[in-house]
Amino acid sequence: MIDIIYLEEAVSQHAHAREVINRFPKATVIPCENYKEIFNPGGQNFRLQKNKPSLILAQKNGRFALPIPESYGIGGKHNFYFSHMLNCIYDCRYCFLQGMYPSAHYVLFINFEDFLADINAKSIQCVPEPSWFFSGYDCDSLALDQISNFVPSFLPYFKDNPLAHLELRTKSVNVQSILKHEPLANIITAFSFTPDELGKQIEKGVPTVSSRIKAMQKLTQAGWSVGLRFDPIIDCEDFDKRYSKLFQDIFSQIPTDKIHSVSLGAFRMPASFFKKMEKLHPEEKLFAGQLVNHQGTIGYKVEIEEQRKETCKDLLLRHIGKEKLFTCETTPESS
Amino acid sequence: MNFVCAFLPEAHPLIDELGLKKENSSTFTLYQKREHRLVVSGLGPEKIAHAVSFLHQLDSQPAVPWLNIGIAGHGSAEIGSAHLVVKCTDRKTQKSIYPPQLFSSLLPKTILETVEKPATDYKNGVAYDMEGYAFLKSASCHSSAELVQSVKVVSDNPDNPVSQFDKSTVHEMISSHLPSLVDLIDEMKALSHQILPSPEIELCFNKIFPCQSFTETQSHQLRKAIRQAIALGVPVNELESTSQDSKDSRSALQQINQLLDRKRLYP
Repeated sequence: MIDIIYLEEAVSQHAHAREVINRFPKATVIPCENYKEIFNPGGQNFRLQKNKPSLILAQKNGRFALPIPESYGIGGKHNFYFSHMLNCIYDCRYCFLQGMYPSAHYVLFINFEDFLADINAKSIQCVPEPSWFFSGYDCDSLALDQISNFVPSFLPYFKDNPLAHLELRTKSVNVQSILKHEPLANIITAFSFTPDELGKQIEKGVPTVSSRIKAMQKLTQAGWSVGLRFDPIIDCEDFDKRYSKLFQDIFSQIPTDKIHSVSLGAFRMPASFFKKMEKLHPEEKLFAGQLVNHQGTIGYKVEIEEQRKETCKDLLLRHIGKEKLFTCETTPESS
Repeated sequence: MNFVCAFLPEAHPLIDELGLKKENSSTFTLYQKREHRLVVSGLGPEKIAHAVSFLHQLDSQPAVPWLNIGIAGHGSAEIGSAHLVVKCTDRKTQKSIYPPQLFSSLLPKTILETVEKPATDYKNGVAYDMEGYAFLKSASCHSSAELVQSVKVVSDNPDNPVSQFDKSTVHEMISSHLPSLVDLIDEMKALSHQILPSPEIELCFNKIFPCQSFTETQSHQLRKAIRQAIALGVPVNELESTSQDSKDSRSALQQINQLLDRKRLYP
């Protein structure tokens, strides 16, 4: 429930902003000049704001689609990410957003037309080669779709431009707006998972594994392809057993020909983010794990990370071909 | 929790409600009881900023909630109505502060404009005072932004201009909102408890630190180890005995970390 909406003057008359505001007739709308006045000031507490985030409606300026880190792709050559929103409705203890942003308020960039224009320009530069656009790095792509109208606004572009590919990364089961469309080969809904035993402890508000598998089933039965994202992999008790069960549960219910790609990545983040997260949640066991600082990036000790990733790869290759498996490497922050 | 009011009639209802007692203070009129402190700052931004600084010196702990309660003019709200400030603009600098709103308080929200002289050019939906911005700005230096709030009770509006304002009505005006104010105070205190550092860390540190000659760097490492021990559920008395049994500070930290390593795997 949103009680407070901050509204940037630049988008106050934008039809999209008015639509969003109309969904919350009881909310107090507060005008502001620039969303950064609310979002950026220091001295805010992300943990406290997670109790009741407000919504900020803003205009995105500058760069819209940006190149992704080199090892984060899923087979494409030209890869970009974009963020129509900042922050997420879920509260995952490992999430880097709490270390990166000073505020937990949701920022929704209203000017989708500018995002699409930039995506189009980047896509044209890549023709005749395909391009990939990743959504869901700085927010969950689908969780607030009823408010943001993201999917209905972006799908038509990708329908008309089959060389441009879109990944919608999510932990949500909110797939209704996708199911209203005919399946498109260039759109992948990529679901992130950790084993249920971990999710219950460190993924507050996230739908259960079984409900996400059901959402994937709905999509694949309608002809859509899906992606699987095991990132971050969390070192834990009964690691092999828990991850093996998770993979078994997924692959026993989702046909492998409908799985576009699977990616893996160990828990990792810039040391500056980690330091802030530790301060926000000093009581968190996860942050007291066997972690080390590799040149400015906090991650598991190399031998643990390698062993856990190898275990996951072995388990996954029992279900899929290696051409579908991608690994996100831990790279030093400075590189 | 700290309270700041510009003048005494604004403060009286809260002083009575919280049972605060007047303290001897040469700088500001101070009322206090247990964790509650209230100062009467006097009028104007400089005085309220000094009052905030004065209160902070009395209790410099992190995560202390701060509340400003006072009267204000308003462009459209009824006389006597109380409002939680969601945006405050300093008319002189045109800078704004947005106190984050995490409360279930049913108090209506208002934009506040802080002006140098009592306002007569009321705008619809906007409240006017002379201290709000200075309060929010200075108190935010000492606590998390979520824990710094301001409530304004409307004393004048276009139909009842400030020239007709009767100061003797202030007590009654603010008293009538005490239930809402107390609810807000309780919520602010509950919020601050979410981020208060665990006292167990310092208690344990104070027990272990004298056992060895820890260097400055080692004392930071010890605090971190204690914090992690608490997170991992390692009994802190085990840390204490480990430290006592170690031959020196370096060995103590090594032994403590080995103790923690056995518990570091996520459950």
